[in-house]
Amino acid sequence: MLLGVRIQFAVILVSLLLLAQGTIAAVVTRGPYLQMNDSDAMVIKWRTDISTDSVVRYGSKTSNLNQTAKVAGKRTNHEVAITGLSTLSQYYYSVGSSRKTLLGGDSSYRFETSPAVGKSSPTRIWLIGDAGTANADATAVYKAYLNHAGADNTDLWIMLGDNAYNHGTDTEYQAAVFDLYPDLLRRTPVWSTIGNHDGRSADSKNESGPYYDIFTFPRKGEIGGLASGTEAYYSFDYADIHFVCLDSYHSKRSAGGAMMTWLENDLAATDQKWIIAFWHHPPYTKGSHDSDTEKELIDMRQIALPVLERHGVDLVFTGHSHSYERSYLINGHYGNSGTFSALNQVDNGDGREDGNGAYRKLAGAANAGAVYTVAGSSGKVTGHGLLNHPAMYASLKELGSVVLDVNDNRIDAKFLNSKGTVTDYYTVNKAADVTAPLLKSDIGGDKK
Amino acid sequence: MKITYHVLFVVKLFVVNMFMLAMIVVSNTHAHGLLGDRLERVTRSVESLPSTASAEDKARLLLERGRVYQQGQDWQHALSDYRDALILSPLLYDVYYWQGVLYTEQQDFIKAQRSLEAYLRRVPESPDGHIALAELKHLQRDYYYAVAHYNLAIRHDPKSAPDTFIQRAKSLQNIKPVPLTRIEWGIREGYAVHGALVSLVSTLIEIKVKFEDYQGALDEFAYLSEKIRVAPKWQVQEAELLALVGDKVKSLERYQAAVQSIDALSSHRRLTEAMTELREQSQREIARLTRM
Repeated sequence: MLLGVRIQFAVILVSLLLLAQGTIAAVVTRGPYLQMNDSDAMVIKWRTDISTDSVVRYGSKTSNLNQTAKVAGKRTNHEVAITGLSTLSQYYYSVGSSRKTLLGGDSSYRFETSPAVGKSSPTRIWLIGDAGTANADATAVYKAYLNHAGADNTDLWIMLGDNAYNHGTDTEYQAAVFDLYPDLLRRTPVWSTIGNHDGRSADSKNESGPYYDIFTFPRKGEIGGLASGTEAYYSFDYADIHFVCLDSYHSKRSAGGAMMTWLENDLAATDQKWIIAFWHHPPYTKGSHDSDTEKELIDMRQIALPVLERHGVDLVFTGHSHSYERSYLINGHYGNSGTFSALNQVDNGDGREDGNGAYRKLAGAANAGAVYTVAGSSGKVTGHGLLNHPAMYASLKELGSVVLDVNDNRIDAKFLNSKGTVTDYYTVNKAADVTAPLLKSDIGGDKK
Repeated sequence: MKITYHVLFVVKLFVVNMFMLAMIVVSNTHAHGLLGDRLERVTRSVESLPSTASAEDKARLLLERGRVYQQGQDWQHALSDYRDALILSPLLYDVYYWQGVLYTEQQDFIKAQRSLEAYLRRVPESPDGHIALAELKHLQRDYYYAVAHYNLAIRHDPKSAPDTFIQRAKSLQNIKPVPLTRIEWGIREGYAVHGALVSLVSTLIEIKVKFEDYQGALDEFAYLSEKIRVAPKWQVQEAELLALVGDKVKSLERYQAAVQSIDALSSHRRLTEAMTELREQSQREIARLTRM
């Protein structure tokens, strides 16, 4: 008995000694994954099983990761910000400690910095909603996208909330996000909005809980946009796109509240060509939820939409209903579905070049319309909703995700189902900017 | 034979009508947010709990189901689940909180207060509890106590969300005489936590304008970042305030600067409803001020 205790003690002692000498290597148990992409910076996060310091080695070739970014001190949840990078440039990287590289260094561990703000640049965006089932359905949606043309060069990845069922716990996030999407996570910056399931374990009031621990978002306007003071809602710029993320669950949605006041001012201060907004609860849906009867959905429609439309929002993405619903090019519909009329349809066609024609947002047309999409079927399809909201051109009860390609004055959007088939698509064209060239002296300074 | 046929026809018609009526009732029930799926799920969980499950586990599920009912505005079922949850597990304090929120939504302020106070007696340092009670007090126009609970929420959560500072300021401005210094101090407390966020600064400016402290409102512009100050919306607001303090020359300059800023925007932004309105307003004011 005594001998047994002594042996156990010896084993523990030897292990501690080995650990102290760094002989027992830490193992990466989460990530790495990319956050807060900017034209000269990137944040890389990962988790290890034992505490180490945090080091990212990076460079422009896999064979020469000759630069390092490090954070001293030991931890298991690592977050390293790399700054001073070149715009729109590809880098390769590895993660580890000052003693050892733990993961990376091959061509799959790479990232590209963002284009200069305000400049057009071909942009691929992948959007998933309510994907957090961690099951074969979510996997099928992911595989379908990986096999889709252009997936290898995804610039941005947006999660529309309910990323990890059922309560958004750290363990559920491990299964539904980190174990499911390892390849894409290591090379594509991911952005997210909070869903009601994420919100069960997180609190937006004090930005606590797994959702806020896992993600890092701009609260000070670090990547364009105005400082919101919170990671619950924020904005950022990428190329000529201004992205706005709202919190439709925890944060106060009242007009005159902090979020809506920030939204109005954020939109008033941007001069980006495209505005894409996203949040969790859809303003229009007749899927597994009903936008005529649920408070969060009604609030977002009645309070956020008028502000967004006054400032020319182009596309709005949400989840929550476990279906795909995509509107016509519409404007000014803030009531119940029964009040939707032809007057709200800026274009009542399918938005397809090989159909009724692409949606056209004319330069200079106030209230030129927006397309609203519910993309909440990336993890499951549920509910007995009739999928008959009159604002919607397409309503599908199919597993899938949304693929966006933004290219100068054109956006191509597709719904890619879990079998790899595109079952809805549309194009939005924007007329070229007709700004007359102004002399700096005419306006008293540089153009914003 | 013919009579029997007619009787059968009428009976058949009645049955069909009743069936259709039933369908309408069912669809209306489901139309309330199609919460049925979630209710079904959580009810199944309640029913499938083993007999050995603890009372607390069952109470937690009842609380969860109550919240689904509450979301669907089915107050009676929600309250019934909350009551049962408390009987099973009197230590599940969250029930008092959700009960309080529900009664507030129902505008049953007395019961709401009772529930929220019961919650705060048990969890006195809960910022959420204090915020919920502050919101209730604001609705009851008991602004003094609303402010007191916002203060406690901020004390227990020094990094309180910007909204808590804003809502406290909105309660404060209803207290007579209006404690403008306290409002200003309270918002600046928010600046200290979050920086001079546009939501905080614009709230203070709005309140100062409401109480005709136009110079004070103008002074707040110093806190705004350059990016915000050069946005046409803020140029117009500054021009309005300059006109109100009687500085016609500077006001005119700011309106002109706003027009130039709007004209310098890309057409995608310049011609939105928001910018079109701002430009028209600026031009009107330029004409008016020039005539003066």
